[in-house]
Amino acid sequence: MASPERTIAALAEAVIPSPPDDQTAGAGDVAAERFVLHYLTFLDPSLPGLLAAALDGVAAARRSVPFEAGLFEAMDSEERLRALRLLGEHEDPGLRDLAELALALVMAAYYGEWTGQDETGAITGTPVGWDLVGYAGPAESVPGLLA
Amino acid sequence: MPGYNIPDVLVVGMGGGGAVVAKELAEQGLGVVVLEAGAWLEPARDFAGLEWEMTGQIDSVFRWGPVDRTRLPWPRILDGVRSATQTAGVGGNTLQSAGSSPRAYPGSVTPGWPLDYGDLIPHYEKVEATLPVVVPDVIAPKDQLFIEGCERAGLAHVAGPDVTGPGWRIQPNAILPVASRHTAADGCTQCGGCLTGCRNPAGSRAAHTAKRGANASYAPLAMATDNCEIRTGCFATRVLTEERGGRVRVRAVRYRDAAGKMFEQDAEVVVLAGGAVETPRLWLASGLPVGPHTGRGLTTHWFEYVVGVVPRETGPDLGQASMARADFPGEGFLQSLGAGPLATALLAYGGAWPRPSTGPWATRGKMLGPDLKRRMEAYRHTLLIACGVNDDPSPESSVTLSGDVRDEHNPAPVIRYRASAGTAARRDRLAKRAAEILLAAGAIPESIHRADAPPALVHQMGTMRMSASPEDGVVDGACEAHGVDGLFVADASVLPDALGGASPTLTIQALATRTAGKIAERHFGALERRIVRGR
Repeated sequence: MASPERTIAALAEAVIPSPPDDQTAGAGDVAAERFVLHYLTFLDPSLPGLLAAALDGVAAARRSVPFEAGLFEAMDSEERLRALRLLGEHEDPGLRDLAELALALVMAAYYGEWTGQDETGAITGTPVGWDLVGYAGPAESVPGLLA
Repeated sequence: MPGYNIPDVLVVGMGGGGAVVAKELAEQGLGVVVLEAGAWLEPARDFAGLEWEMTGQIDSVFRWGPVDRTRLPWPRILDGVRSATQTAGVGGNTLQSAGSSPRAYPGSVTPGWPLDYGDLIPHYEKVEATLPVVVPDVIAPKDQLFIEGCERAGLAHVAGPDVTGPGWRIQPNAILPVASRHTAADGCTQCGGCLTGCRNPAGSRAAHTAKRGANASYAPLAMATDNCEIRTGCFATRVLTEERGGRVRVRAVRYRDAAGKMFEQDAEVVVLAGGAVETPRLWLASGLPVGPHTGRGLTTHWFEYVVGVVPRETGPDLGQASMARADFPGEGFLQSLGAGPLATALLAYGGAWPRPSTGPWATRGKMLGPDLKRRMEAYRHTLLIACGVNDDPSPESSVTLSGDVRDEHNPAPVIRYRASAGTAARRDRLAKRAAEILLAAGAIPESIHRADAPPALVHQMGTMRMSASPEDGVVDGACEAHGVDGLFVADASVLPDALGGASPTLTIQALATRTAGKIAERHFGALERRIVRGR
């Protein structure tokens, strides 16, 4: 059953893939769609549905088939990225901005601190993205670079 | 808090420019009230050092929105612009800047300016001493590598603050000297947190943090005079004028506090310092005189980012955000830039959709999927170069008022940016220079990547330009409005051009210092009076 959450999860997974499409943990492993949904809903409760419909719309255009909910999710990762580009270069600037916002939120979910935070916002574990890139998080001082 | 009934001077906005005017005039004995839309945050308590929490723009600590972060950010209509950095709060955009504080290139202060470069020098010197601006003496690995690349690419070292030709130099930063490893003295701990809000040395109160944003430098100095009151959470909605002796002059400012209550504050002089978006917005919403340059001529340094992977560790998260730069007066500048993983992903790999391109880079444009992950896995070996481009003022680039979108204060600003062909050409040339420096620094040729970043307004300038005559600008050579006595502007909007490409903060602050002197001279008898009125 197609839903905005599943469509956005498919988008996140294409942007930052998980096994078996990639060797290391990806957006699917951290449920990045929850982060994206939270912020889209905060900005405007209609945005998740609009984004999902827009992604299904460009998926339909790419496959030259009638619009159907769930089309984007049914694509493989490479096809999703091609469909996403159609949205990112859409003639409607509002849809282009929505695509960019969604991409930024996926990156923020994965490479930001969110996956290491508890419900209060405290860092209680190493965020997945930090771990993979070798970022230790905010420091108070770097002794090796002092005078 | 002094609690003025009628202050001598009312300043709108406590960012990089407003804080300077407030400090300079309060120090001379004038009574100053500042209206600041945001809060005055306490770094030890409020700055977490986390990228999304601090800089995510939607509900982050640094954003353009109400103090209450559960409320939506204030809307802006962006046309030809992906984002526009505006920060509500004491310190304004200096809260999340790198702290880079070069002077303008002397040759950029042209006959189009109502002053010459020599006029600015004593004011530069005063700001450099007050902040202070420091050339750091312990350089982080990423910046050392950038310097090596510059030298191998044939760039000479340039010394001194007045740069007239191409070359590299250590970045003059508004950051305290690097702290000693042997003592617990104040100073920069090289923690790498400049862009997410300086909060070190650990436990520092605002006035003692290493990066000298306006929150840590001029604002505390203004308050130390006991002649300045900052009203936080207060948003100016109208500038009110009256006729006096057949001339229009400023009378008061109407504003809303965080609880939504409206006030009207009279003042002898009003200084607008909300930045190159909010100052024209307030001006237009107030029905002040509009000429051909009001809200027009928006410039930015349309940043580009070029990145490469090198065989050795670069430590992108270590040291001051940028400790080295290469200047190309008239073209712009390049600087090494260290950032956390989220900013790196967005800046380096979140650009425009890929398109065919020739140049000394292997790839260009947005990078997604496995390619993005491989690049980010090389984060610790990444050298990121930011290119700031000298920008041509154009009436096509502007700040106007929306006809149908508004926030609780006023119609939303419509921020429109169109780059000229000259700006685009300079940007291409700077990106090529950055790629050459990366290659010379030992970057793997196949790793050189040009972001192709869409316009993001980081250094917005020029929408209320100063000019000798009313036909050519909005404010005069003292930054007082051509058509409204007692109304001044002290932010980046007065800059007639993009400074030849140099980062603008220091020039904004030098001009604000000069403007404070002009205010005193023109309206308060050259500061001979030391009695604070209206208490």
